[in-house]
Amino acid sequence: MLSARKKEKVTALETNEIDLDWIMKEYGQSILWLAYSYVKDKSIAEDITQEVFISCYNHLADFRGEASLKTWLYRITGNRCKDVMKSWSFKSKKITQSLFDDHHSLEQTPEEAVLKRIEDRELSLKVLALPIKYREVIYLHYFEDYKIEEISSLLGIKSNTIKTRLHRGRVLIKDMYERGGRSGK
Amino acid sequence: MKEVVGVENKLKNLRESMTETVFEDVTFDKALQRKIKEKALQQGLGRRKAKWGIARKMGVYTAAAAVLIGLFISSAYVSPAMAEVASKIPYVKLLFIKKDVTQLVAERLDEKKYKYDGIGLSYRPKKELVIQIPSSKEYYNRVKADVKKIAQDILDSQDYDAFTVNVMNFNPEPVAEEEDPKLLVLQTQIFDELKKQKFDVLSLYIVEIPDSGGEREVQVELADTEKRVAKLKELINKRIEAEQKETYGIKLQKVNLAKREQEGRWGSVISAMAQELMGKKDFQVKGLSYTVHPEPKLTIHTTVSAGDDHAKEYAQDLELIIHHFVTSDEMKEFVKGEPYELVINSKEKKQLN
Repeated sequence: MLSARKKEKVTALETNEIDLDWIMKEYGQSILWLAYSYVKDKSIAEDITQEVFISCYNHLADFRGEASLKTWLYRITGNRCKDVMKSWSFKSKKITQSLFDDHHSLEQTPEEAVLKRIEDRELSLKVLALPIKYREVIYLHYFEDYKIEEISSLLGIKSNTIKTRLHRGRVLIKDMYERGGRSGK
Repeated sequence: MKEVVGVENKLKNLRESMTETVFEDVTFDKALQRKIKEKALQQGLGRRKAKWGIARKMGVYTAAAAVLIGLFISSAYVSPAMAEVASKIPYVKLLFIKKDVTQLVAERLDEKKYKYDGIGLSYRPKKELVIQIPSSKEYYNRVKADVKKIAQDILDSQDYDAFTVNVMNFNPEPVAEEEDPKLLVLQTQIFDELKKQKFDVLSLYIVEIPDSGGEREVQVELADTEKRVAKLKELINKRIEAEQKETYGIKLQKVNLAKREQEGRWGSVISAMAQELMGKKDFQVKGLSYTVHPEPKLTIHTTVSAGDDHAKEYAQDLELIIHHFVTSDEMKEFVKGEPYELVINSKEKKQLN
């Protein structure tokens, strides 16, 4: 029997019409979440997800199966997110929103009355508050379970740098806990 | 340091934490899926084929005997006598499970009431779909254009761009009445009697030995588990002597039933692949062969040169596609989980995989 990874490649190899339904079912949620972890805005994340799938379809000819399909898609997503975040429209939108963000996040919603939920939410917000270069490695390592070498290959950055950033990210999160808030950046 | 370890522990459950909180209403729902699909169709993506590498969908066809045991088909339409022998072997029937190209063509020709003697796929010397039209030259000339179009349309509908259509006028020589009808009857009677006595025989033929001036012998195929050889011969001789007042030599062919059955099953696998692999130019396959001795081994003969830049990649891709096919649900009953060797050869006959 073929391993899951090989099966992925075979399916990709065999379809000459990419099964958009299949690929969306497999990766849609992960890509949406990944995008959100970058842009922190649901509608922008949705737009990016849409662009990723369309782009993937258009550029399938370039994909030779060197990495897994998933890693290829993640790389496209990350790059697109970073591009979007550099744009003026994004930056101005974020400034307007941040006023509401703070307010909303400190509120304790009824559903979060459970202590665990409160703690989960706190951690999540702190991760999302990290600067991008630390946030993305923390996300890929802890949320997506990617190993250091895999992250290195995905982002095109040396392993040692990844390790350093992971460490720095953890320290920053720790600082946030000590200061009793979020870094706000 | 202790606090960072605490953070590390919290991070280990990051997926759960985020999924249940900040990601809670960030769902990739049906609405978004639909939206993306619409956008894709708008851009004409759904209809275009995103082709790459040697991507092609493998149809699960089990082709006719023509394809499978090459020796059968190419001789089947050349020699009607061989065609008859082929149908006596039970496992050949296994192959006619799904419709294949030759069957599709046959059905269409039947609809139009065209006469044909044989339809087959040939690989040597070139890839052709051959249709034999019997009877007069005048009839042949009248129908050949339409027959050709019918066959070509079917090939096109399956994307089999590697085959050309060859419509031939074929009038077989009337088979000389070599067989004495009495002998044919005797042959059948002896076979039935042996079976009744529970001998494990597979076939029995009384044939004329070529270039012997009319000498005959009895050719018997029996399972290699049948040990009562002497008794078997005795019985045959007795019956022949009674009828013909002479004895014939008896030639025994031992057959390993298990191996033969295995050979049939793996033959089906090869034939299912053959039509697709040979029919589509992209695969660059010029032939397939297989053996089950000592164990199943499939060989793919390609037109790719070993020196090509992409030769290795091509072989890897092809290997994956074939592995996937062989281990698929549709092939399960034929493969029965048996391990097999796969050899992919370059046009210089060097192994690429």
